[in-house]
Amino acid sequence: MNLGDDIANLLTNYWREFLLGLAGTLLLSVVGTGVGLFLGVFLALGKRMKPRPSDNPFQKIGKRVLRGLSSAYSAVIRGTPMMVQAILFKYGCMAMGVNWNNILPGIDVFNGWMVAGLIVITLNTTAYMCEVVLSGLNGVDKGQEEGARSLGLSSSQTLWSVVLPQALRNAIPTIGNEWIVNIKDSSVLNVIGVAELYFEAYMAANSTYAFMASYLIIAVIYLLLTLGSNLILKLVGIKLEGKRIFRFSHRKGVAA
Amino acid sequence: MSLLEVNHISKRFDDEVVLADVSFTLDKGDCLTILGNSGSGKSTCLRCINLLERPDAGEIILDGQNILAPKTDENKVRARVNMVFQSFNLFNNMSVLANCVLAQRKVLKRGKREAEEIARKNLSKVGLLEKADAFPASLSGGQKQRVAIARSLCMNPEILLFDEPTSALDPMMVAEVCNVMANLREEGVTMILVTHQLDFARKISSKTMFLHKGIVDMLGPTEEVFSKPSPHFRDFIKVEGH
Repeated sequence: MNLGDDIANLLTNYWREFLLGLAGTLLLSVVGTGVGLFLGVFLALGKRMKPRPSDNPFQKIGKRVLRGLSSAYSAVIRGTPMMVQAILFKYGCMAMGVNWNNILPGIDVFNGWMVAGLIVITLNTTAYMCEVVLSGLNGVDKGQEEGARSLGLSSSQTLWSVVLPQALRNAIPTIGNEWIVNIKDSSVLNVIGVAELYFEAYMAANSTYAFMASYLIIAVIYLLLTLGSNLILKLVGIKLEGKRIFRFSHRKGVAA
Repeated sequence: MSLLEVNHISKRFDDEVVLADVSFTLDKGDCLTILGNSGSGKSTCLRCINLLERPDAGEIILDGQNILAPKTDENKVRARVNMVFQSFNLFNNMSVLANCVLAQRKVLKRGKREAEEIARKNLSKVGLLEKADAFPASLSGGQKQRVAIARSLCMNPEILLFDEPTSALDPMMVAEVCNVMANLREEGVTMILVTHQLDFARKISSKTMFLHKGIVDMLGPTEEVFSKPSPHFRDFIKVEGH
């Protein structure tokens, strides 16, 4: 059989599996990016902890410990491949008596391994998002904080009401990139049997021996996904810009 | 008793002495102008009163309370002594109205309706009520500074600090901001002003302090200081007044 026939055959007989894989990949990338961003904010705040002169000794030690742990987490996660993290997570859990295979039993597709996959990709994205949020925070003009503090707002009120919204707003393009990276990189989760696109292609290929055709199909799907998400991100960017919420640049307030 | 007593404050950044033994007092309704060359410590002096900087030595007594005491709630002090900055520092992520409402709600715990009412009143005082829903990015420099002043006024500060409020503005806008400040002066708002606008300072302020390299070179009623300038102050006037 030639390649064209293989593809046609796969699309006719395995479209359901490919669709499930697509759903799995989307689920992993969206949850991983969303929850990862949420947790990444807190990790970033941990990494920014600084003891103040007015803190009591316990607060000082606590802040240093939190800061150290956050930095270590970010360094370890970003310094190892997600594929290795996934496999360590699998066997680590097994060593502690948790077998994800037995969680959500009886469900064929989005089973316990999908849950494990969601955990791994979220924990992984958290470390990257931490850095994204940090650079977003650093990009906010110092005057914004001083303006808020000079009115009597506490440092946490200043952070949540003034600095963080601007940091996240500025980080939207980078956050979008992380999402696209996650669409592609979630494929490595096949090592622990997460039912995403690559995993489904692998299964289809092994039943039909149409290796080239099967992987070509998902290559095209991945490409369409990333092109599509790029488009969505662009539209979001234009919409925000159109609303003139505020500018990306942080030029000092010099009169034009 | 004076509203504000600054007693012998000193401040150094690394090896550089920025303020050396600076003392002055301010009564309710006073307007003090701090003049000095760049790097003379005038901005730092202002920032110390707002606790954005901490002096290394000395005391600052606001209404009988030493605000440098370790147990002081800095945020409460800052809410009573507000600062207007050279670079405006309006919150970019909020409308003009929200800029004026935020600290009222979070710090003074005012209700939403009350805070908005006070915000509108103060925005109309600076002539910008129609910009209430605009975002800072769409305002001119002069408008931004007037909003910043309105935002501070919403806190009913006991003292308003102005840190070179017109230095980032072109001449037309300087006039509009100066007008607002002159109006506040007429209302009896207590203020401290750091500026390079000599004529305006002379017109508006009841007291003038001239800092030279962190040391109080001259301090007294404005007319007295201007009519009998010290050698340093004379040099300063020559340069600044063209």
